[in-house]
Amino acid sequence: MFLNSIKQFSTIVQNHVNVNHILSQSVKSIQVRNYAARKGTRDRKAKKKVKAEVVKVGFVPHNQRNKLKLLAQREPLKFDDSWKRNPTDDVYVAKYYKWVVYPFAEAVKCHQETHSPEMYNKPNANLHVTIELNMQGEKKTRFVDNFTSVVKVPYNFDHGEERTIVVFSKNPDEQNEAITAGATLSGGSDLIKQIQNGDVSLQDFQYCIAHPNILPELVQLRGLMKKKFPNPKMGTLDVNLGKVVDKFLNGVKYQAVKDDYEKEFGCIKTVIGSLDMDIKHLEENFSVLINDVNSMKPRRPGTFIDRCILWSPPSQEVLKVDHAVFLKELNSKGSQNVFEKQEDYDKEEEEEKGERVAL
Amino acid sequence: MASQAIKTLGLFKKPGIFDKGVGALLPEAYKKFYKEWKLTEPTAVHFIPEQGSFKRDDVTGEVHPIQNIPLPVLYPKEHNFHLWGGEGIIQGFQVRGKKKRRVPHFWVPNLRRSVVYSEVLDKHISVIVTERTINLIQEHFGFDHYLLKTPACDLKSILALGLKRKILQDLQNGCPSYVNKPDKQKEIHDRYRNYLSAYTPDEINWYGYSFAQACRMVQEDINKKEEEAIVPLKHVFRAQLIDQLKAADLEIEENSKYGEPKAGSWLNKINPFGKKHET
Amino acid sequence: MWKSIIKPLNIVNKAFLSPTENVVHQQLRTTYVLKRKTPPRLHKKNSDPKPLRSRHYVYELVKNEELEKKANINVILTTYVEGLGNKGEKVSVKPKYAYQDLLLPGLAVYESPENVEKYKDFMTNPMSDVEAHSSPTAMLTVRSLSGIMLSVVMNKDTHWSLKPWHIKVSFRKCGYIVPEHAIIMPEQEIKGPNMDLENREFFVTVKINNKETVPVRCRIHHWSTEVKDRIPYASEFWKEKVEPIFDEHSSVLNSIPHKAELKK
Repeated sequence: MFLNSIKQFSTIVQNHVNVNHILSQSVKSIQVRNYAARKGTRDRKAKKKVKAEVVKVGFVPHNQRNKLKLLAQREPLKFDDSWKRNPTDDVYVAKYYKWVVYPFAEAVKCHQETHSPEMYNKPNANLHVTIELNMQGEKKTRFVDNFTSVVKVPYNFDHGEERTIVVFSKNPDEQNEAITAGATLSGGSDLIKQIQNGDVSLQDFQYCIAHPNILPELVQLRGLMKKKFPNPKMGTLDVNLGKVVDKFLNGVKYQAVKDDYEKEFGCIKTVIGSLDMDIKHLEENFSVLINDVNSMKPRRPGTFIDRCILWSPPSQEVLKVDHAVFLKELNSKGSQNVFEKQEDYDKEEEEEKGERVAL
Repeated sequence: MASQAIKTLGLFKKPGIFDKGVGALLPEAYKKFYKEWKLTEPTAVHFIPEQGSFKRDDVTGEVHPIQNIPLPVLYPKEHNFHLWGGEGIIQGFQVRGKKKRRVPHFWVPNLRRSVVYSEVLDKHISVIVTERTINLIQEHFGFDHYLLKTPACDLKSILALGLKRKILQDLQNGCPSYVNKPDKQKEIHDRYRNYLSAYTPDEINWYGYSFAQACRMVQEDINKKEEEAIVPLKHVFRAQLIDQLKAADLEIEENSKYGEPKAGSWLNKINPFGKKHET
Repeated sequence: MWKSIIKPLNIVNKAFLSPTENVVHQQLRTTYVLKRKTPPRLHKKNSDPKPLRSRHYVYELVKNEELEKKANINVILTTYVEGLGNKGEKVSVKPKYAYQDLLLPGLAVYESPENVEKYKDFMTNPMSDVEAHSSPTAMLTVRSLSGIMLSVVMNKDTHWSLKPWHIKVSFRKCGYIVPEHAIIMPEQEIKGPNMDLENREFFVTVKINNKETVPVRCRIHHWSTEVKDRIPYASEFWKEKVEPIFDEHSSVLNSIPHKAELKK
């Protein structure tokens, strides 16, 4: 009896011990949970302990060190003469007063005077235009990306550039049309095969224009073409090939580049004609160019084009022109011209963007 | 004594600087100037006095009188040679943070050397001034106008008051600086003539001196008079002798009317002081 | 430190001619304006103010006038001042400039009511004793133009005869806006291309606002479109002293200050 009771006791004790043991184990695991760090503590600590990567910078010559400091001391590129006085006399020293804003015709006439046979004797000099832009985007920290485009000008002139264009079309008539318009090379599926073989190199050509009918075959060359691949936004994918070739061959090509440091300042430098052209023609050219540039304006208050300057080498004279007269009213983003631009994207997203087709 | 008590209505008036010594001898003109200089309340320069007579406390709603007790301002002796325009040095404490201990601070006006032009004296004067002085001159449309319009209690420095006195004296004498240009002289005189009506000539002569300077002037006056009063005795005696001799001469003349001395008396022939000696 | 001030029953009024207190209250114009942090105790009406303790000397700065922007003051000019105006004109300028450069030297007077009356006539009869200039900036332009040496670049191969528009274009290239009607050419005609004219001077008269005239020294430079035909560039050619084209001009040309002398 006693023994039994002892046994029982021991079993009880044992059981108890066992339970304890079990309990202790469970307690241990519970203990582990109880004493552990709260969820996320370890992550937070690890995050805090971000190791600073030692970046090895090689030798930087003294005039390239502290570039930011040097750039901060640089004069702002954006032109501002609003603080200057307005001229009161008829004869005055130009640098103390606001710049004279010439109407376009007068500015051209001034340049024609300097280039007349009696003075510089270069009446056929190119008329250059510099358009300064305010690249501020819709938000203060966002800026308009650099863009480049070719504009169809009503009055063609010799721009002195070599423009090589390759045209793809299934229809031989269209191919001929392209050649007569001035394309360098024109062809269909056989041309595509030649390119794939390597007989013809795409690097030789600046622009690639195609008719939509050949598009499925052209897709094979997509990798080779990359940015040059025809798309309706740029205007390179079009039905009327002759018109497009003419535009890219004779049109005014311009590129808007914003400064690396002063990001809200952008600049376009192009030629819009020559001084021996009719002033009215030059005006029309200028007007088309201005409106084309203005179509890239972001939706925000304020002007996009800050000022337009006409200059013509070999003269170093620079004349500010009133461009506001030529600007036409923009009707938000729905204008046709928007689709003919090429924005310099890093990723190749043209195909997706091509949803907005306005043909 | 009793009469004094009646005058002061029983109050014991502490003897001031004008009650003893040389101060008591100062003329009324100077006392008037002194009153204007030291005993009138100057315009508030370093603090903004509250307007009105009574104010209701925001919290308790009690009505208190407004008593604008001015900030004590120090005027070092250097300021007498400059034109500070009523500004001075304020000695006090700054508390630069809520929990911080107060820190002694001297608020000193910014002094700079500039030029000041007086039309009446026709002189450009180089002085050390403050911005306030220049502003006041511009406000009053001229240095002379500024000096003549501001009371002595606002001008404070001896230089300013001395210049004011000089200007007033010149105006009294008809602008002697423009003796060669009679037109200009008349113009300037007419422009500032009205300021003279506030002073008598005596007051102008006593205007702008410090108390010590005024006392010195009075003392010098007294000394001069005393000196003039002292005569050396020999002068007195000499004068007396001359009077006596004059009186004696008259007697001799009177006497000579009655008789003549004997002619050829051997006594008359002797000349005891003669140089020729027969012996 | 504290002296009791006996407030007289009647403040002497004769000595104070005009109340300046009001003006001073509105605009203190002091370097430092302070305020007590702890107001002193109120005292009874007829007794002296209570003595001040240290706590009453704790001040805080209300404003520092020297740090604030100063408003312009109006002055009336007594002579022609370049860049400002003619005699008699009312001008609003910065107070420091007005005091140091206009009032003290006597070029202007304060705009007090008496002065306004006095100089009222100057505006209506500007030509009293001194000729009024056409504009404040006219003399500045005159001074600027008298010092320059204008290069008139003409062609080496084509025939030309010097006309006002050539001069106008040359001025425009140098940064001077001179309309054709303001240019008075020399009486003798200058024709070219003529290598005798190269490196020889003549002068042209410029009339500003139809009034002020200034002779401007000019020099013809022959320029060729082809680079190989061009005359080599002479550095600092404007410092050289050269002969005039027409001897009659020499007297006028000598009167114009020469750049070589100016540079000294």
